[in-house]
Amino acid sequence: MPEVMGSSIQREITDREIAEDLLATQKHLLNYYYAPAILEAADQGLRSAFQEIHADAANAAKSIFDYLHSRGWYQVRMADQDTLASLRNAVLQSRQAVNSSLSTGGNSMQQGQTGWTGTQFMEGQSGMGPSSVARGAQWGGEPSWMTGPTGQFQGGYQGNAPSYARGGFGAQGGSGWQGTTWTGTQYGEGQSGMGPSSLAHGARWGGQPSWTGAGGQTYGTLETQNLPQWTQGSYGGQSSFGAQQGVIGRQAWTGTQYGEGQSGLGPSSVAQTAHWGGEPSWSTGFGGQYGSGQNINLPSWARGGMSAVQGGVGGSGFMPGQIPQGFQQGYAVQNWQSGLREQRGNWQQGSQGNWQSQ
Amino acid sequence: MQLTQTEAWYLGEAIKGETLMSRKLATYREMAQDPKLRALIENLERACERHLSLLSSHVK
Repeated sequence: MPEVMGSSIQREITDREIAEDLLATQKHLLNYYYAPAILEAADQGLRSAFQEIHADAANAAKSIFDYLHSRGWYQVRMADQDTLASLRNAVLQSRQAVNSSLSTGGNSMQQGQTGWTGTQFMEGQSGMGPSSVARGAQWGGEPSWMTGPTGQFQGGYQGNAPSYARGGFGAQGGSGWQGTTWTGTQYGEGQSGMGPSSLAHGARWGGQPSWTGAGGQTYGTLETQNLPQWTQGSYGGQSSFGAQQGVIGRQAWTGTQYGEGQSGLGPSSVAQTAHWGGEPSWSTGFGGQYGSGQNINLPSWARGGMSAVQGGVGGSGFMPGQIPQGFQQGYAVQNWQSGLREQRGNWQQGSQGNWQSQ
Repeated sequence: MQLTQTEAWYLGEAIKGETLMSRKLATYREMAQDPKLRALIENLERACERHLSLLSSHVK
């Protein structure tokens, strides 16, 4: 029996109190002993010891929590809808902030540029040929410079793109910039102007270059201008055709969304219908946001992966030769189509299935 | 191994903390009514011993 101030207090300590005290003690050890000790240890051996004990203590704390929880002594409260909504909003803002800082990470933007939408990390970008990570080019036994005049030596605009965004060999080909508008690719996306795109699996597997896709980011409507950049696609193709068209009054980014297959007339980089089916995506419809604008307020994670929602296969997409909804509003489709034919004409398929510029 | 001042301080605090924890666990093991809780406490005691041994090995 515990004694306090000389008088005995007859009180049993309960199992619950024991467990709660043990949990509190474990938390204290974790937070005030081992966590800072790990940070402050200069010696690797000692640091590892602290880390090991820290992990042990965390596991012990979980065991004690489980014990308390199983008996209803440690109630957890689920987050309410308001909290979740606030959390989602915080995630959006965070991503916008991070993306904004990434996209302006280089030098100052060019005059007249309303926002840098250039290449993101590890992305292949090419103007007229395979980009740095164009594995199609590498596996085809042909260096990227043989298939098109790529490289960031063309044009001076690329100086504004952060170095990490430029890729290695031949990244950022010449037509990524048009005028003062950068219309480059986003993370992981295949972009090409006249050659196979960097990650365009369709080009590699389907034997078709990405330039057959005119999934330009500028064809969409201005309604998408409020989309955060992180919603911009990982894999959707943003061809240079789009970039060229985008010179016209480009104010808004209307590019590919995350995970979406976007193509104009060719397989987009993740247009799986293209490479799995052996068929280019343009034969089944157009991905991308050329369809109706009703999706524009949806965050990208709500849109589905492969264009199905945003006018992909079977969606509200359009077929070759047809002017898509939302597309008709702002741009001269004739120019786009004729430009495409011209661009196509400069390419032919090589003996190894590679596409080469004439 | 030459310890830095900060490392020595944290090492000492950790050893004292684990020692106190060990004594507390021994007391609680006697007081606990629930066999499950007692088993849990015994596991924690063994972990404490391991920790003390590991921490002590860094003191030459």
